[in-house]
Amino acid sequence: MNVETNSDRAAASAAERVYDLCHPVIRHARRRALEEIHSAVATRWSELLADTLPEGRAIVFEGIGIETFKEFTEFASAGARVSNFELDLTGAGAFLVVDGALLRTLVDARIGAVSVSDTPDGPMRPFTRLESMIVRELQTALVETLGEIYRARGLGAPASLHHGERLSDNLLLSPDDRMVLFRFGPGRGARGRAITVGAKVEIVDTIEESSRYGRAPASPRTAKRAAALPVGVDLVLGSWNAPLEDLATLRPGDLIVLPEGDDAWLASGTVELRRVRVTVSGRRMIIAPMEGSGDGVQG
Amino acid sequence: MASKAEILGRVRVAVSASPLHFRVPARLAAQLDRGDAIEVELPSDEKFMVRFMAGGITFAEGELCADSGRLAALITRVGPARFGEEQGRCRISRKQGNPR
Repeated sequence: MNVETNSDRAAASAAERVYDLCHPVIRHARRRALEEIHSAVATRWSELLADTLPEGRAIVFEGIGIETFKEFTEFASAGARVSNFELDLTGAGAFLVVDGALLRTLVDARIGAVSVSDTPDGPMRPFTRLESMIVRELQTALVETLGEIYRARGLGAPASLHHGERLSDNLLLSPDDRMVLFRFGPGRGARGRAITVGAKVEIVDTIEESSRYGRAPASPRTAKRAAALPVGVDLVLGSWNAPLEDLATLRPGDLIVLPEGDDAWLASGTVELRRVRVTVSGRRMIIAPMEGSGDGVQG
Repeated sequence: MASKAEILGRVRVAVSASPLHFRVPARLAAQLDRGDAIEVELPSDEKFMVRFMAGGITFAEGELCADSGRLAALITRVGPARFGEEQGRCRISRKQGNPR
């Protein structure tokens, strides 16, 4: 009889993780577009909170991460407040988590109290009923600002907004869901995390790639080596269907007028790469691309 | 039952024509901008040859010529390609700005 122990299950689980082929992929251009969007979000949030953030502080976009929902909830800081929502375009579950220390700073500034939240290791005062209402107001404003930018960039607007204290209240996400996380810090050497926005990784597919950021440029060395590869393409002067009889009776001295005239195309295998016009003059042939044939590829 | 001649008359195959002596370097083709062109120049003792292919097999070759303004080929040989014939000595270069 086989007995499966906990260590067996742990080993099996580790093996599954190693060979998991479903890890999300974010293309470089999309990542740059996401970074651009969330840098803009950080700027807008800094403007929104300018009166309540400590002198010289701003919300700074720190970067993108990918974790499962379960992994993120395990490390979410105590005292944080959560806004759960879905993005209406895709129905993808998402959340915005504001760090408890940042909220305490913002609330204290709002009510004119001296903030002690710059010592995050110490115990944090719980929010009173009135303070909790200010927190809700702040959370709503942060989500609305995020939504304005998301809507403008085609990611969809937040819907079904629900504030709470626990990420696990988000009914749209399950522990194994892969999340793309956008992390924002308090800036200027301050410790801790200010705000984290998370959404199901599927939202990455909805983003329009920024026209400013194309593919990552290849290194000059790689480009030079690639250019030196002896890869050739065929120049096809014409293609047509002919009866086998014509081919069988073909003899030296026959003249075949090419059906495409002086039109031709560059091809790799059966793939047409580019339409060209061919001119022959004695020992010289000129192959010139035709207007509008830039990058057209036909099967 | 159809005769051999009838079958040969009915069955059609896709034929393509390509220059025999050269392939355009992919790097050069990718670099072509509007107004650019690729110039191919043969040694003085050679002519542009065209190979005719069906199903990936060369079945005839001919000299490339102009017939009333259209490109045409005068058949010089019928049969499969001979190994090594496609290695030409032509010079292939990129001309920036339309040289025509």
